[in-house]
Amino acid sequence: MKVRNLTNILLCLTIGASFAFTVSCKGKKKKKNQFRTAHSINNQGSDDAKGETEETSGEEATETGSQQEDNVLLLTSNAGLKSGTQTYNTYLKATGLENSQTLRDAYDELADSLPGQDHLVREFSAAHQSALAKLAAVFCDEMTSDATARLAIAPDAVWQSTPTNIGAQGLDSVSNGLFDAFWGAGYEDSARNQQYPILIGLYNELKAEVANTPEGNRRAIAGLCVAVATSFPTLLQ
Amino acid sequence: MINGRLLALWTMGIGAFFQSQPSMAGPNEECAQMFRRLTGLPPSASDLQPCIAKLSAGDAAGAARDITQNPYFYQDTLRYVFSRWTNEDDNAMVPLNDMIATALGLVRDDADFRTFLYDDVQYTCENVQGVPNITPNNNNHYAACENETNYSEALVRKTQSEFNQDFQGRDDVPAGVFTTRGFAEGFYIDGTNRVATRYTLNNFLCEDIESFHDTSIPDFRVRQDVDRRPGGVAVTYVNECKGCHAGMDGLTGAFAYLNWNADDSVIEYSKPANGTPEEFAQAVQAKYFVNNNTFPSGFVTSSDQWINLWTEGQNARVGWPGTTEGAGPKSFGMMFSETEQFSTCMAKHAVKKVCYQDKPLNDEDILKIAEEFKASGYSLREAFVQAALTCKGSE
Repeated sequence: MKVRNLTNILLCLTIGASFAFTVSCKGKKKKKNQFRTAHSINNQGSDDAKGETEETSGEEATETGSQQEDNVLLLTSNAGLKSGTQTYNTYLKATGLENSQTLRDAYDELADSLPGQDHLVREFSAAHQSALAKLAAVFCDEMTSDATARLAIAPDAVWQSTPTNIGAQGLDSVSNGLFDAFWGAGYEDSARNQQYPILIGLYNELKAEVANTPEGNRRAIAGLCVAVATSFPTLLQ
Repeated sequence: MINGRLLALWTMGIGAFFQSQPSMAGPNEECAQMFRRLTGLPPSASDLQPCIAKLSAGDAAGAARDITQNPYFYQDTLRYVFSRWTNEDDNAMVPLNDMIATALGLVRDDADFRTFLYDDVQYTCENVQGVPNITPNNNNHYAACENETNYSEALVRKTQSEFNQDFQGRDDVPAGVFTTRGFAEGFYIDGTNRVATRYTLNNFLCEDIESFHDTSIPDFRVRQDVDRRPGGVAVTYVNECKGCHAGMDGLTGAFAYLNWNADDSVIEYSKPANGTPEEFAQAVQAKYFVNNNTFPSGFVTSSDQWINLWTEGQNARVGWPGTTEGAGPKSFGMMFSETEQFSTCMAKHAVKKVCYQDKPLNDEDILKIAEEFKASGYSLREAFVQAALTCKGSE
């Protein structure tokens, strides 16, 4: 229930393309204290945020504006957004690739569009997401094309498969390999379990777009890789 | 539809992230969080094993200290704290230089971080093969070291006097950060050198000059370039300008012989090794006499004597040490390093980087971390360790 509430909130935020400090999502009427249980996504990166964000639970959260008390959210968290450099280092570690000129060039080209060193989740923007996806695409393409590096994600048999014969076990192997690499250890199984069907669903849709060959399979897995590499468990800390 | 899947993965991922935060989990998740925050990397299972063992045994600080041995604690976490200190723009994305490398080296060696403000110390990358030698007029040595992913092995402790002839055989210099090339390029360039004082306050006391505004102190050190009747209104000077300049100009005397020569890309130190008072006065950098006709009766800088006029009144809160006047940047840096607020400021930097919270200097957590920092012999590593422990379990 908690996650569902959060997802509703975050979808609202995403659709609005806004990580505004105070977010109004009209039409998402909730009971007065319903957001109390939702985790929030804006961290306290500056003094100006602090005063207003220390209390988000219960009535304080809903008394911010009497007219909007049911649809104004004060979202706070101490989670931090990884900087561009940290994301780059994360991708290096996750993919096991060498810090090559190709990768550095990709980073240099996108550096100004990647998140900065303030780690403020509330400053996350569409431009960041776009740049991160581009960076992830370079890494994932390199990794899935590298005969050695990709073995850290899944065994060779998976990479020799086609989209139609990869099988549930193969997809399971790929999914877990990607979660392990990009999210790292320390996540509860339940967290992965929620993401797993989404990732499998994505593969099934991607395979319709690629050739039924090992190369098509590689490209579809690269798509999964980008999805995991740009998911929030990879980007937050 | 694919976009919808990606969106779902992305947003559901936020739920997964928060669901796995330590307040709801055990040592595994707590170690994962500390690892991510101290290194910026996702931990592998083998990364977590020693941490979990220590955390389970009740040695949380030891667990966090182990994580700080990871190369990326230096390469990324600390590096981008220190790089902000090198320029007025608070820009973290600047090339590695002697100032950043020296701060990193002092942390690696668990050295007394106060020495960063006054000691004859400079860390180099001489352990890295193929890097050019250090020369006073470029940053090539450190730029070549930039992509070295293991600073903990690359950095070598040396002295500034080894690389700068102007500093050899002197007692008043080198002066830690204040005589590094990196600091000079950022703060002795053009202007009046007041910016060097301002960013000393900013970076090492964590307060900007406006916080020190105090019109109650005497203005006998305010220099000639400050208009005593700005816009024809004397009261503006008394109520506004004087409040900052009286204290700031008294301190900025410390940098009277320092300049950044942008043409030659070198730090200049013009103080004679010996001479008459007139010769010392003549050696003061020209920037100290720019616009000296604005108020000819103002203070004329004739040496690098400095005085701290903020020791009483509202600015006594800084916790100044006994010595509050001296000559040159070394004694200046020593005074700042011995303030109580230096410790709380370092704690504040650590909490901001590791916990993403900009807490006030008198915050209970900041004060506690500052005490641990002092108790460790001013090892800045300990401030980061304690910061990671403080927000361990927060979400």
